[in-house]
Amino acid sequence: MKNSKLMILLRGIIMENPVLILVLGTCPTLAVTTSLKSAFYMGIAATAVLVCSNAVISALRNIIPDTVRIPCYIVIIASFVTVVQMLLEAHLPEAYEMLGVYLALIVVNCIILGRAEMYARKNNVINSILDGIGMGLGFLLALMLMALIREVLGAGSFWGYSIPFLENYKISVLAQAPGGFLVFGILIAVMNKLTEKRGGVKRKSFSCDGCPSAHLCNKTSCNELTELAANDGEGEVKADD
Amino acid sequence: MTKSKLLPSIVLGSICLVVAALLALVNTLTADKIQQNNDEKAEVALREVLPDHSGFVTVEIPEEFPSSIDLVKKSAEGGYVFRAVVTGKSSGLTVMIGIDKDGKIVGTKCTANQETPSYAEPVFEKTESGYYVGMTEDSFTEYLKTGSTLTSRAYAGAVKDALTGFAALSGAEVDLRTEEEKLADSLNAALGTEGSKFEKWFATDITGADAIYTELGGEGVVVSIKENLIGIRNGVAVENSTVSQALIENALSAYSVYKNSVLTPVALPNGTPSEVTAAYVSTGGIYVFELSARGYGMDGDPDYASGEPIKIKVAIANMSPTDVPSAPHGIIVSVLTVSESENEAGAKCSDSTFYSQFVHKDKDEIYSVPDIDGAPVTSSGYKRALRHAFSVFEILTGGNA
Repeated sequence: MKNSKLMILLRGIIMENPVLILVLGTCPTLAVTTSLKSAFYMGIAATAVLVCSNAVISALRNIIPDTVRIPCYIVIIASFVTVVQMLLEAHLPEAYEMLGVYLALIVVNCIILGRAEMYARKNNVINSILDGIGMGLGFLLALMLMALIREVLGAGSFWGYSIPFLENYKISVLAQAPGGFLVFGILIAVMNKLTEKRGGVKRKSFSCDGCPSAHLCNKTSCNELTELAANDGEGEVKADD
Repeated sequence: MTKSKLLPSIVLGSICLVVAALLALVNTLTADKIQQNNDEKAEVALREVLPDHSGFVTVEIPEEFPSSIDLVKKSAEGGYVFRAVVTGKSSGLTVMIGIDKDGKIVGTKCTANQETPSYAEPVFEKTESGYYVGMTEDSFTEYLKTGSTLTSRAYAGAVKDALTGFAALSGAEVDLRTEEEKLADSLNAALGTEGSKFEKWFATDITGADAIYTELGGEGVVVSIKENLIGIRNGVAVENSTVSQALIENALSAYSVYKNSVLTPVALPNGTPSEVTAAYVSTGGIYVFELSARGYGMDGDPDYASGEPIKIKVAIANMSPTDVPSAPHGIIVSVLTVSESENEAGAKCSDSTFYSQFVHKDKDEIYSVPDIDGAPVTSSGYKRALRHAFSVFEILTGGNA
């Protein structure tokens, strides 16, 4: 029981990291990772909203009818975002200024609505809270990792403090949009490689009929590959190379 | 209504009520702290926009004062700092303006905004590196017209309001009316009415007047000639001792042309460009065209373009010498942007300061009108549509397009 609770918590950090594995929430990921401070504040704010919204949506999962579930989720998420906004404006004005318009955009962050739809509405409150914490921490860590690379190498500073020997060698493009995409892509590739041997994320298997790349692919069928993989004892479905 | 149909509404409504209560509670708990933070930020900004000044005290804002100013501080040295909250792309654009005792701007700073960063950052970079420094109320008015985005125009409006506020606090009589309000008051005074609304007549004939305004919901007309306004009701000029008899007669003549101006539809010739959707000829021989210009709404980024054209009305008069009828020389008499669905920059095409530049221009001179800043697609589409109007005009008047 304890292990499964721990697994729920840890899953969002590595195995199903929302940014680097599930590739959700890319807008704030690219926008606020030009500095460690803003990445940290965004991660904390998003985690707070995620945990609270997961808890409430899970608590109300048997009450909210299917026909209005998305509007209800949006109302709940938006309210928590507004609460976080007001609290930051009052007690952490620096963070509020730094995040700017991206704070309000947490409402439409796919991670929040995605977890509400995929997890919170099907699981109990405790598990949903743990899932929220795990996903939030995964989001925070991914943002911090990206920000570390972009700020140190792109701006020659760390947490706003300039690094003397790096200032003259900074790679400015990393602090801009193209560099952000570059760093993001490299981190996703690294993460995919690291999680490959552990089986990766379970992917849905479907026949070649439904595959948009069928005409390019020389494989017989994905289902046959799945059976082959299973017979080899690997157990998990892998994506085609 | 069955229970199953009511339940979703009840659940959603209940959630909204609870959420509203929660937000009200948090707002109550944080409002004072937020206000305190804003005041502290304002204090810091005070010293940035009016350095070398001290001893700031809050000044009570008089009743007759620009509505955008919500805080005024006076320094011991006689300078003022104004805080204006205006609406650019979004509401809440807060600007602090420091003005010394001589009425000169010392500094400006934006302390809060929700503007689009790509439009706002160049504005703040320009304004906070001393763009407005040294300007007074007289020298400022000219710069207000160069604002090219909602953010820059709102920022300029905030600074203008601060200068007006300074004039008011210094004891000068200030006119807080907008340009539209001033015009409306002048038109009402000319006609001897109060509170009437007016619409500028889209001139389809050459009347000799600068403009004719018609009273909405009434029979009155006001003719503007050389900055004189002459009111006319039922064909009789309203008594006005400040205007000469000659001007009154000119106004009556212009009124007569206006009253007798009738538009007759004209069939469009074969091969008319699609931008020209209708043509009319007036009693005085002026051609009026309705245009659908392909601006950003039609030819811009498909993800953002509205798919709607710019609707324009243009009146073109033939100014060719009477002995060379085959060489019509069209000159724009009036032009009006009827509607548009352009982007933020392109929306300026509906501003009279843009389209009025085309008046008295011929088919080549329209290209000398400067493009709208940041809206090349809108500007070129607008001019192309006008050029097509000239082409059709030349065919209809017997020339070669």
